[in-house]
Amino acid sequence: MLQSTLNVPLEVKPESCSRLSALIEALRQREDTGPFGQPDNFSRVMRDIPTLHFMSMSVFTAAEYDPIFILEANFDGQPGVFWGQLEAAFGPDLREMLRCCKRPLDEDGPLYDAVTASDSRAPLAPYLEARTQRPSVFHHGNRGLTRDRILQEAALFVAVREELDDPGRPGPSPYRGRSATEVHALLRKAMVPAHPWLGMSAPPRISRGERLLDILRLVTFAVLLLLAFSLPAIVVAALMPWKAYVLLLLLVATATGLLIYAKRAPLPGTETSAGPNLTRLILPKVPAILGIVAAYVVVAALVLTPLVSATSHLLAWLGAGNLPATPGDAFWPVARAVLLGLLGLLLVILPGLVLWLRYLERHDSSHDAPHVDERLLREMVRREDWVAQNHMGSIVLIKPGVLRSIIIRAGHLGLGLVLRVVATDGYLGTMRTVHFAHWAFLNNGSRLLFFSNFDHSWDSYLDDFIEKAAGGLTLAWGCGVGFPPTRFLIYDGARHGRRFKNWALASRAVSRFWYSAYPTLTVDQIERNNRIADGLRRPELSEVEARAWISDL
Amino acid sequence: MSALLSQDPIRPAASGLKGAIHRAFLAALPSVFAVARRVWPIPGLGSFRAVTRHDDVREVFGTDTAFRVPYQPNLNVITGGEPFFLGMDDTPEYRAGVAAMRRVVRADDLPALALRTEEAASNILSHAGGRIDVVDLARRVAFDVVAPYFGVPPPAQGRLDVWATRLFEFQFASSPKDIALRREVDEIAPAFRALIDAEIARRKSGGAGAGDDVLDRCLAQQAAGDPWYTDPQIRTSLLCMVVGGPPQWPMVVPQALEQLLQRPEALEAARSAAQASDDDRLRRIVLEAMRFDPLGPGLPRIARRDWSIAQGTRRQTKVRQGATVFVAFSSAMMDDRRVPEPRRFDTDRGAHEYIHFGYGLHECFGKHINHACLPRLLKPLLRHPNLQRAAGKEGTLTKNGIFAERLVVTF
Amino acid sequence: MDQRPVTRTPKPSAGWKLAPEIAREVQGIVVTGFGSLPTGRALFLEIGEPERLDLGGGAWLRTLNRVAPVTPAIPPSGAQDRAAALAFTWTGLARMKLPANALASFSRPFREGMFQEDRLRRLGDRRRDEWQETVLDGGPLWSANTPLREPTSTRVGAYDVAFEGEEKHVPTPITVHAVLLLYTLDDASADALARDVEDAFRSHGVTVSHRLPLVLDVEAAGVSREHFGFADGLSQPAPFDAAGAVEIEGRKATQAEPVQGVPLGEFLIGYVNGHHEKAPGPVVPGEEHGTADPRPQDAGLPPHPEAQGFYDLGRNGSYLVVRELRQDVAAFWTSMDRNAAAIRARDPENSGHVTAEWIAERVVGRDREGHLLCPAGRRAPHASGMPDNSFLFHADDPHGIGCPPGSHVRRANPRDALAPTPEQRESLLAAANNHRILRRGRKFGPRIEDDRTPDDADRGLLFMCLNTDIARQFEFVQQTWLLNSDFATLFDEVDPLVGPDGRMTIREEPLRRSVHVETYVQMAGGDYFFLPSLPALRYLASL
Repeated sequence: MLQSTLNVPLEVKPESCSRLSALIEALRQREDTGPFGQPDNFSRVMRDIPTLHFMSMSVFTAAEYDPIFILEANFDGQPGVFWGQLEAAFGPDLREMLRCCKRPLDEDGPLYDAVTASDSRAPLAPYLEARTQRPSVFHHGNRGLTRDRILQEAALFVAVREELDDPGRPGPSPYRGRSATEVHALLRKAMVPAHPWLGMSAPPRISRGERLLDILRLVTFAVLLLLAFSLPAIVVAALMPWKAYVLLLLLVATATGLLIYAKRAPLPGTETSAGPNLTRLILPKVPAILGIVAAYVVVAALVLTPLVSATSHLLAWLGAGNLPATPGDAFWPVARAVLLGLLGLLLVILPGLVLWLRYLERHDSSHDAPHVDERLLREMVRREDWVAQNHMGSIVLIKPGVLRSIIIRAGHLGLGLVLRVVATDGYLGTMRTVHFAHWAFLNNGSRLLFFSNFDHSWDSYLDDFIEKAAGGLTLAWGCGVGFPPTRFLIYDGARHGRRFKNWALASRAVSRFWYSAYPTLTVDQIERNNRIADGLRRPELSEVEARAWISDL
Repeated sequence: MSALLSQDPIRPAASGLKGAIHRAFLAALPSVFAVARRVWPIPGLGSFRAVTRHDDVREVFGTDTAFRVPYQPNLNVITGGEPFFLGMDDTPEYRAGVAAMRRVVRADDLPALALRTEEAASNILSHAGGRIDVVDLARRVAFDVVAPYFGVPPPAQGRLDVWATRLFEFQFASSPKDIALRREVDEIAPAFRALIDAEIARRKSGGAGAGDDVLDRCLAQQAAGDPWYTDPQIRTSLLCMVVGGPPQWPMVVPQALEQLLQRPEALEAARSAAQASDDDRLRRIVLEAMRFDPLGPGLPRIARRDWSIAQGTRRQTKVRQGATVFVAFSSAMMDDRRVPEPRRFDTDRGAHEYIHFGYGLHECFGKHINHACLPRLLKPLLRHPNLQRAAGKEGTLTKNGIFAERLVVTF
Repeated sequence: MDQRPVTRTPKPSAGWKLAPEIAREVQGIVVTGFGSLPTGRALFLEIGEPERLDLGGGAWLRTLNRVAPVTPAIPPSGAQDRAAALAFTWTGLARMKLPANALASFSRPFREGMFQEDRLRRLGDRRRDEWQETVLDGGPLWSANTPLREPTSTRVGAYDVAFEGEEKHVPTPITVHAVLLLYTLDDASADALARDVEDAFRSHGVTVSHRLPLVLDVEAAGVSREHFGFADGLSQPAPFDAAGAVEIEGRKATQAEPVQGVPLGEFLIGYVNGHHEKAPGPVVPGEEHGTADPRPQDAGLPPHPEAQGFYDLGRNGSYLVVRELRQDVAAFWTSMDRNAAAIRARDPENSGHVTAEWIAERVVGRDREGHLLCPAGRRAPHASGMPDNSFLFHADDPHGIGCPPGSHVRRANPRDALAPTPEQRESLLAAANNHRILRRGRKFGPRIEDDRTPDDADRGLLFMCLNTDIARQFEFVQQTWLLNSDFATLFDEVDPLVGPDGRMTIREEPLRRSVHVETYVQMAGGDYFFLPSLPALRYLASL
């Protein structure tokens, strides 16, 4: 099932900022009747926006910019349908909120006028669509499970628990003293009448087509990235005899290597002991890496050969250049150039970039004690820890410079594609508490927006990052102005736990409106429910399967 | 023969090439709209425009400050110049009119009305001998239920359903060039007004009514001193209600059944809902069936001032003051930009996906009555285990213009 | 059994010491629970209105130093016959006229107090203005009664629209400004000492607003039991310090002990902590209104390394979390009886092993003697005969067949149990060790005559623990482990021992059992305290 994650960032008229916050607050109070986590909470949203998993509305204030209002939404299916549902549910409220926002300076100005004119009845959805921002990186926990399926399987879990424990039923329980397969068969028989969908096979969480497309995208990205970065080396290799080229590479590589070695040490007081062990990470993967290199050379050569051949034909036709080369003739020289280019990339270009990066890192300023507004902090805390899940939104400035721009853009693009291919089991690697999260660029890429809907408290969520995924987090967020000092992109950084938390806290906004379609379910529990449901969908389980299945009950 | 004595609710279809082209055009409209939504969402020529996308349909319906209803001239003919809110803008008179009618047409009447509908349909079916034209069934039930509810008696000579349908056609689906229709209307409208006037006079002189129908309530309000309920105002209101409401039933009910008959799974769902007397579920099913063939392809509006439809989007289109905009709500309900998987029969759709009854200021006054009664009209039929199309051509719905003409089923 | 190359020292946590030059400045309670002094008194102090303090804010501390001096962490030269420890709440320090900038330099949880309304919610004590069932009926008796933060909302800006809700103050009948812990050999000397202290304080306007008689009750086997009857205080972290501040058996402990190793900075301010930095603490200014203030220097406070012109009030101190937990022993055991009976009724053929004892062991996660439950029964004791505490969960009992995944011991310190795959055991153990606390609690109240028959006596545990980052340590344990309804892929159940009414899953093969646990423990009061170093105490005495 296709799922969408997006946000709509809207600049706020500074004079209307407080009003906007009040409007969001009023909407939350109207919809969120009764204590958090009660079944009738947000019941109107549950009914009228049936595709929605998580949604938030927050206003971010900043010293550098006017406030910005951001609507974040994570839902099943296509955005158009969702916007229609949202408008039907919240139309008048949203229109009043839009009136607190600035008129865009670009071609969306007239659309803004149309939807915000006094007494306007023009649909809002087109404006929200036009101002929608797609994430640069996103993660969908419990990927491929629609909202309705999650709710359905959660209801099944509760029914199963009742059936097994039912204290009101007199006499011995029919489920005791049975084998796992017997329990499965009995339970299935008891559950099917009230849950007829158990009789149908489950739709695949990720269709084969979707999977193939994800992989294809990643491979294309990787090949293009490598080609682009090794292009200078390919050109140089084409202009020099290969022995001289290799010699040159080795000389430059040695010099760069020595420089990097000299600059490897952290700045005093910014070192953290633990960090990913790259050798241990990479060594077992050497055969795979060699295979990937070979595949890359072949693919890149296959892509380039027709281009080279065509160019030579064009040159010959123009009267310049030598004889036209057939694709067959061109393949081996092209493959050699690609290989030499890759060598150049690994020995010179990459180390050169690392050296450049290290220079930047040693001159970065960090922001260890950013100001946190006491009132905002209280408003954040007041909304947290009512249910199993929590929400955070954050905006940070991005460090300037060409290299940083390239790294963050290529990094986010790559990370996003990798996540689509790798994070298919419902979890985000070692982080098992993330439902929907995304990053997006704001203000022409000068600010980075982060939203996450996660399990447990904010502190424990950040601790998870610090303790289990500090490398990845440093990679993704280290480009933020004021981030704790990093080393080689992935070391230190977020491992400065307290400083990192201070920094992250200061970048947050109050999640004034936050909706979860299943506030009591953690990512882990949703996967557990899914395993139980999948087991019960099957008419029979083998003894081994049944034993694994029954341990989830 | 006088139009007053006509026995045909629907006038004979245009014959020959002209009729064939008309029929083909109506049949092709859904496909035309599907293409238009994609390539030319706001097609039009000169002072005529059509809107086909969900967003634009909502915009035009919703923006009554820029688009008015074109009903007033024909309405004047029907009411004899008396004002009725159907033709009005959003004025104090409009609001007073709607409020006054809401006081006498009450939400708590709905269960009884729905029950009467079901009973009437059931009664007719039990005498039908296992075979019935659903168009006729719906028409008979509609007038059997709705006219008495409002307190409008049948005329001494002629048929109320024919009168009302003719006036309905004149009001909503006629061309100014149709002189013949106008001639009939000029006969029927005064007779209809006189019919209600006579009933008012009869009630006032102590004649017993049905007990608690809308007319009785109006007269009670009048007696209580509410100045809105003048005799002409009461007459106009009842007239417009009976003209505007019951003629729709023989259109949408057979059309909905036809859609169900085309979808065995949906039909089965409708049958089991009818069997289980799950009225809410049946209502959802019928509503969804109607989405595939609603009352009509759309309704016209007139631009009150220069306006830019879908302003700020690429399809932005200016309309001049006085231009006619055809609001294709049938197309809007098939727009996959807002309606998920519109070709799928889905009974769990959100309320906003349906624009059956229009939207905004002039949303159908009888929406709630229709919601309550239409499914109940079909219910007795759906409960028959052997319900199926009659053999031959008459087992498939035929239309005459926008009117459903015949759909025979056996049961 | 776990095959990791683990060096297992007998009772690794028991033997650690601080380097002598540090130990001199640290309160003894940091390194020891004073196990040789079985009797104790917890005196909760209220400091009178400042204008009534005739001898200045810190005068009563000078008096205390005469009557019952606070015990340093130096190992006693001979047999110890008494010991004392002293810690302050934020309101206590404010009463003692600690300068405002110093008061503002403490960590946020301490400044706000345990009874800030959002914190009470996270700790599971209070929700939407209602005390939860795990709190003493009618509400807790005592706290620091920390005032609300300054209402920032009084400043109204242009265009502001009022819509925020106000924070609610949650007061208790008794106010506690400091806690004085006295440890003695027997009841008589404890009473005498407490009386002396009380008499001496009277002239300073310092009164005892609440008191608890503490007992240790060590049995011959060296085991001390809490009131439900289970051996207690078994598992403690083993501090280490890369810079050499910790010594174990005469050697500097600079490396983490594999299972229980935790950096010293987690328990002592000023040392490297789990976040690779020196645990931050409060400061005091070195000058007042432009004139130098000699008191910090005279007291022996070091200059603060980061804040120029300020002195380090926190170094060698810690934060002490105190919660008075009342235990209802009869309720616990009768509830176990009911559950055992229910299970046997529902499963007469296969439940011969299910007794109240069996369920209670699973609620706790250990047997009465303190041995961990494992799939084969219970873990073999250490060579010394004491329960072996160097275990890990993942290798032996990944699914909690022996020791249930939601049992108290597994929730209170999951070690590597939360690792989803064997490869992640190490990182999850390291992650868990970032949230350890050093427990210093003692029980109070008499032992119950019959554990099935309720009596009128108040009894329970005075829970006390030391940590330098209250939010990341104590609060995390309480919120993310103990009271987390989704802990370890469980659903809708919290700690069976200290949590409210609810279910508890006991894994068995093939099918798990479920029992209904009730509220056995209620919080009667509590707050966050600052446990100063001895120089810091001297500074406070000079106020």
